[in-house]
Amino acid sequence: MNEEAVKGSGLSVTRLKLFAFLLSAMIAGLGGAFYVHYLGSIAPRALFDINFVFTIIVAALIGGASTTIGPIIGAFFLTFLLEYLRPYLPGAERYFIYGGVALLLYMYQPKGIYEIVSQGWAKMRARA
Amino acid sequence: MSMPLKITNLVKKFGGLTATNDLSFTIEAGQSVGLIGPNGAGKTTVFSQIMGEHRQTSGQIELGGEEISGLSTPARIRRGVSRTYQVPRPFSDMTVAENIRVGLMPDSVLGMILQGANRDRELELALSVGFTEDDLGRTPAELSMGDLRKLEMARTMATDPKVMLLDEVFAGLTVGEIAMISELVQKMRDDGMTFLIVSHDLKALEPLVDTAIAINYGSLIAEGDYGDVMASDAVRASYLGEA
Repeated sequence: MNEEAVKGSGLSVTRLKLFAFLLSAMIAGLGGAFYVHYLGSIAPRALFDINFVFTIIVAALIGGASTTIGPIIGAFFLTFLLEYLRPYLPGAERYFIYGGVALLLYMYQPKGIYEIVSQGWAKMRARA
Repeated sequence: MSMPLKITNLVKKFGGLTATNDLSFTIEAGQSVGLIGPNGAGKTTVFSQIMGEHRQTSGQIELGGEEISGLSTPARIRRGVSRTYQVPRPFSDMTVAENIRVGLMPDSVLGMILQGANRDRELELALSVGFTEDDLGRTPAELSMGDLRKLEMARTMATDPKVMLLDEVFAGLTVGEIAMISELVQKMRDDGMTFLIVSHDLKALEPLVDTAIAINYGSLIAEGDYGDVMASDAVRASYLGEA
């Protein structure tokens, strides 16, 4: 975000950053609370497992960081991808495929799936 | 409504360099003043201090009789002083309408949510600087330098300023665009807006100002009627490098 333009528009950068931080922390906290109920138990290894933590970050990145809907799309995409791969690659190998797909997607469009969908939608509207 | 702006004994030092040297001037409410000087004279630094982007080493800045030196930039903008930049700084991911919307937003998250978009005002501001309704959905990447300056003007106007500081507002514009921005400034002058305008395009600047202030090396070298200032020996020497 262009901090100088925010200031130049009469808005407090610190206040907005703090609000964004609080809001994202609140949503993440809420997600964590739901997840604990889903697991039925709480243990550091279950919640701070490297694959699990990376999945959350990668979901946000490839879905579309700095958008509201992007991380949700990313989470759906990655969850389905991992589950579709499970019959063929039941072990940890499927994380190679998952990592590769995530990397390729990120290289193709760093703004994420959300941007790919938005651009596709804009093109369709332009043609119509 | 318009406001006076008073600068008293303003000094700004960057280490050993004195960028503003004991500068004092007053702009009455509704007056339009040109701030001129050669490159590096310290014009933009004066703007930055008025806006609070740089804190002065010493001196006072009063807006409408109120000392604003201790206020943050957003607080000064809410008091009624706003500026444009030499290099336009739009929000690159946002459309023209959204860029203008940011300027219209109150400085409170709840206020922003409750207020939402005021599309009529966005359109009104866009049209007033010469955009068309179709331009509202365009992003800064699709705009020319002239259009970016117009967007900067619109976003500045959206903050509802009483005093506007225009920094090189004609740079990179075509003759037609200069005429259009000049017309807009004239109209705002007629409505009573107070202006401090920096421009290297002295021909375009002349009809827009009542008086001029010339500075060099951060010091005031001439002040008064535009023609007299331009004719003064000190100003000619500063521009032409004469001793």
